[in-house]
Order: sequence, then C-alpha cells, then structure tokens
Amino acid sequence: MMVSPLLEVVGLRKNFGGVQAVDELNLIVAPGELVGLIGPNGAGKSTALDLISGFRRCTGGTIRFAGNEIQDWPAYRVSDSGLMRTFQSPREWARLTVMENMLIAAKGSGHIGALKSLFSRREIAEFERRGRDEARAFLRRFELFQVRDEFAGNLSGGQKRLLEFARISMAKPRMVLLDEPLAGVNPVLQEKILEAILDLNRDGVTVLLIEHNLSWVEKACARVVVMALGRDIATGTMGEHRADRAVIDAYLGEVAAK
Amino acid sequence: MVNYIVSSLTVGVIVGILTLGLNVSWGWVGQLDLAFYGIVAIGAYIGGVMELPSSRNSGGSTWILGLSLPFPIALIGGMAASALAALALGSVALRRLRGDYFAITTVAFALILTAFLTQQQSIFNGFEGLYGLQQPFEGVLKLSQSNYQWFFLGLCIVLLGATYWVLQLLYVSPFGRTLRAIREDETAAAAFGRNAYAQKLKAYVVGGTCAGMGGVLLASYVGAWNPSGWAAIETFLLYTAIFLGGQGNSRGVLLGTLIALVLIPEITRWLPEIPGHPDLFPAIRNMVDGALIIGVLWFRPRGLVPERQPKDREIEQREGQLPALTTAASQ
Repeated sequence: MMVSPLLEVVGLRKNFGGVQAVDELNLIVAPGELVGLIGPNGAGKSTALDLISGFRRCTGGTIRFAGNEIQDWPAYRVSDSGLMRTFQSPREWARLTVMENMLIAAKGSGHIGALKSLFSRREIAEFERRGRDEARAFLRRFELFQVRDEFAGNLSGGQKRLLEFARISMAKPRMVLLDEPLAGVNPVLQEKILEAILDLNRDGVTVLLIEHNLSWVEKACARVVVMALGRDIATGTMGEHRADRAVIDAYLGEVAAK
Repeated sequence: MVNYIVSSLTVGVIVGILTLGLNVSWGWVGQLDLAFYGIVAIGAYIGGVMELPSSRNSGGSTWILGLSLPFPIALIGGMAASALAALALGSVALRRLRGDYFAITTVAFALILTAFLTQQQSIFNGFEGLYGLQQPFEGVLKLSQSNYQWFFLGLCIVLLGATYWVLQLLYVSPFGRTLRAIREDETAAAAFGRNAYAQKLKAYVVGGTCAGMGGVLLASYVGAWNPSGWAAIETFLLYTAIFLGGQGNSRGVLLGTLIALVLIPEITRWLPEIPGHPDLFPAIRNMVDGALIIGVLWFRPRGLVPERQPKDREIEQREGQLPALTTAASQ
C-alpha cells in the first residue's frame, strides 16, 4: 500500500554563483516518519533544509508539502502551513521570558493582530489562559518550569536547547526539520533530546533531522537518507549504509563502516 | 509662575504622547525611525487645515482644505493622516528586512518632506506655516485664560492616559509579544509563522497614530505650526527621553520625558545668565542631554526603568484567586 507522502522534494537545485550546493535532490517523507539526513560537510544538507523551510529560494525543482507546492512560499507561510524547523544553534528570543517564548509558539497566536488584541479582549484572555496552561505543562516536562519568568537569553546552552524543543512541542507542527539538534550538547542532554524527538514523533509529528552523531542517528531513525555533493545517494537503515560501498566512499570511511 | 509651570507641563504631556508612540517602533520592534517628527508634522498640518477656515481671505497665506471643522474631528483627521503617512513610508522603508535600510529611508523621507513643505507655498503655507489656530473648545467653554490652561492640560493628560492604556494592552497582547520577538530574532519569528514585514508595518502605524495625536495637540496648543517646529533635532530629543527612561517600557519612557524634556530644559533656563554669553545655557542643555545618554548607556544600558514583562508566577497567582478567568480583563 502506498501512503501519499507528506513531503516530496523533486529535482531540487540551488547554486550560489558557480557552486552547485544542491543538485537534483529527491526526497520523500511519509506522514509519521522519523527520517535522518546525513552526509559529509558541504553535502548540501543545511542548504536543502533552508530551501524546504522557505528561508532560501531554490534555483529549480519542486517541493510539495501536504498537497501544496511550497518552493516559492516565504518562510513564515511555510511555517504557518505546519512545516517548521529549528536551527543549528538555538534561536531563543533573548529578552522575552521563557514563558513568552512558549506563548509565541502557541498555535494561532500569530494571527492575533492589534485590533483583535484591543477589541476581542475576552476571547484573547481565554486563548492566553489556555496557552499558559499548556505552556506550563511543557515547561515542567522539559524541566524549565522554575525558570519560566527568566529572560530566555539568561538560560544555559542546554536549557536553550530544551526550550527549543518545548517551543516546537507547543507549536504542534505536522512536520519538523531539525538542523543538528545535538550540536554543542553533552551526553546526558543527548538522551533527553532523543526522548523529546521520539515523543514528538509519537504525538504524530513527522521528523526530518540532520545530525553528525551516527550512533545516535541509528537509535533515533529507522530510515536514513545519505547526501553527497548536493544530491541523495542512498536511502535505507544505518545498517544497510554501513555495507554500501558508495556511502562508505562518500561519507562513512572504512573505519566507521565496521 | 503657575501659568508657566502649567504651560511647560502641558508641552511635557503632549511630548509624552510622542515618546510613547516612538517607543513602539524603537522600543518594541527595534526599528530606528528618524522621520518621526515628519509623521508628527503631517498630523499637525492636516489637523490644522481641517480646523482653519479657508485661506481665501487670509491675505496672501495659502493652505489646502480650510474646513473650519471642530477640534475632535480635526484630531481624528490628523491621527488618520499620520497613520496613513506611516503606512505609506513604512511600506517602502520596511520592505528590506535590514534595520539600517529602514533608518536611512526615514532620514531621506524627513529631509525630502522638510524641503518640500518649506518650498511649497500652496499646501501648508510653506516656510511661514499655519497660524491662527483656535484653541480647542475655547469658544464653547468661555473660560478665563488661566482656567483654560488648566482645562487644556487636563485634556492632554486624559489623552496621554488613553494612549498609555491602549499601548499597555497592546504590549502584553499576543500582538505586542510578536513585535518583541521580531526585535529579538526576526529569523526565529519567521520560523514560527510571523510575517515580520506586515507586523512591523502595523507597529509603525500604531506609533504613527500617536504621532498624529501629539502633532494636532501641539499645533493647537501653540496656535501655529511651521517647518522650524519639527526640525530633525526634535526626533533626537525624543530618543534621549526613551534611552534615559528605558526602551520598551512605557512608564520608563514617560519618566525619561519628564526628566530629559521637561526638567532639564527648565532647570537650565533658570540658571543665571552670564553677560556676553547668551548661547551658553542652551549649549549646556545640549551637553547635559548628551552626557545623560552616554551615562545611562554606560551605567544602566536598559534605562532608569528597564523593560519589564508580565511574570507568569504573578499571573498564575491572580488566576488562582479569581473564580472566573476573565473578570479582570473584561472590565
């Protein structure tokens, strides 16, 4: 049985001047999947992620998400349609409190303008109350409840990472693109983040993640796509990749493949 | 003496409305607007020509409209004109996402507007400007001059209070929060579905509306409005008040206005004059302003009353004490 894909990338291309960063990338992610995207530095993984999330314009190809062709959409519209992303370093709103960071992520809060804030105050108050309740629950889960009134910029690096996942959990996207969620993270926190990602996925969020920590990727992802020189060269389990000559040559090398 | 104090307070209150408005684009969104007094001027002019009679019998002066409308309508008209001007300028200046582009575009706008309105005799009477504006409600109230002063101060305080109240509501609302998120990290805001351009434009229009209100009040109070009243330095003085008081914090900004734009000018005015150096004290005033900005940025970079956001701890407590959740908010 063929499930229709949630995200479908066909022949995606992007060049910066003469450099072909992404070159005929094809990628299919089914609803509910948790897919890893690996490859050597410069393979075009992050650029691909920027293209899919609308932060960069592609030179060619199509990106379909949930039935829409989104390659020309601005980033905020892609996000609004339920395809969200994180960045290599956490991007908290530093001089907003942790709680306010969470409330920004609340679904629908971006559609409340100035007039509605002034003239539908009862409705807004109710919306905010529900948002706060939900945010408090997530903050407890990510062990950030005690610091909820701190400026997010005052958190430690690890707490900022956790806040990032708390925000994404709050936003409830249909799919999330995670750009190196382990960058700069200690082993204890790695486990917590793995848990957070698996939780998200269990709640029905489709995940595509870029990561260099391969043993961790193996734990997290049933299916892994390998990119090299701007295109996808293989897809399968990490076990299959370890036996794949092309993948070994492009990325894993002889030692890691053993 | 009392009249003098009332008069400086009145100007201070009106300028308070202006600084609150400018604080929306600088304090909330982080956009350096250098054309703010241009937007103020547009409101003042439009309010003025709505109030004034036709210029046909004015003996050489020329201005458009001349509708002889009552003050409240002129006030609304001036606010609408400033809001529209902010919408037009913002839709061009904010299109590029970089903040410096916005600042440069606003400078250009302010320069062009000044040159144009100074040279163009037929719109707002050029360099001479508008004069002979009636004091609001004076004809209806028939108060003595000093009682009228008190009345006008009261009117300005009510309008300042209303402005403050509306802006406080917006600041803590999802809309205000979105603006502050855009200020902190625009890319992250886009990643959470925020159209930074549209939101900044809305904020700019909110600030522009305040500018229009202040402009109409200022012109009505002085009874006249011309290009020398809205020179570029005026915008910088408003920034002094914002930096001193606390960017982003309405209360701080009002305190800053009181100190930097009411007390310091008044105090330096009362210093004894040194014979032969009439320019000394105005110069001292500018130096004090400059030193204040540097001192505040050095020792209290977030201002005397730093931005303070609603604490969830307190909101949670308040919710816990209330039987129904919207009792407080729905007044």
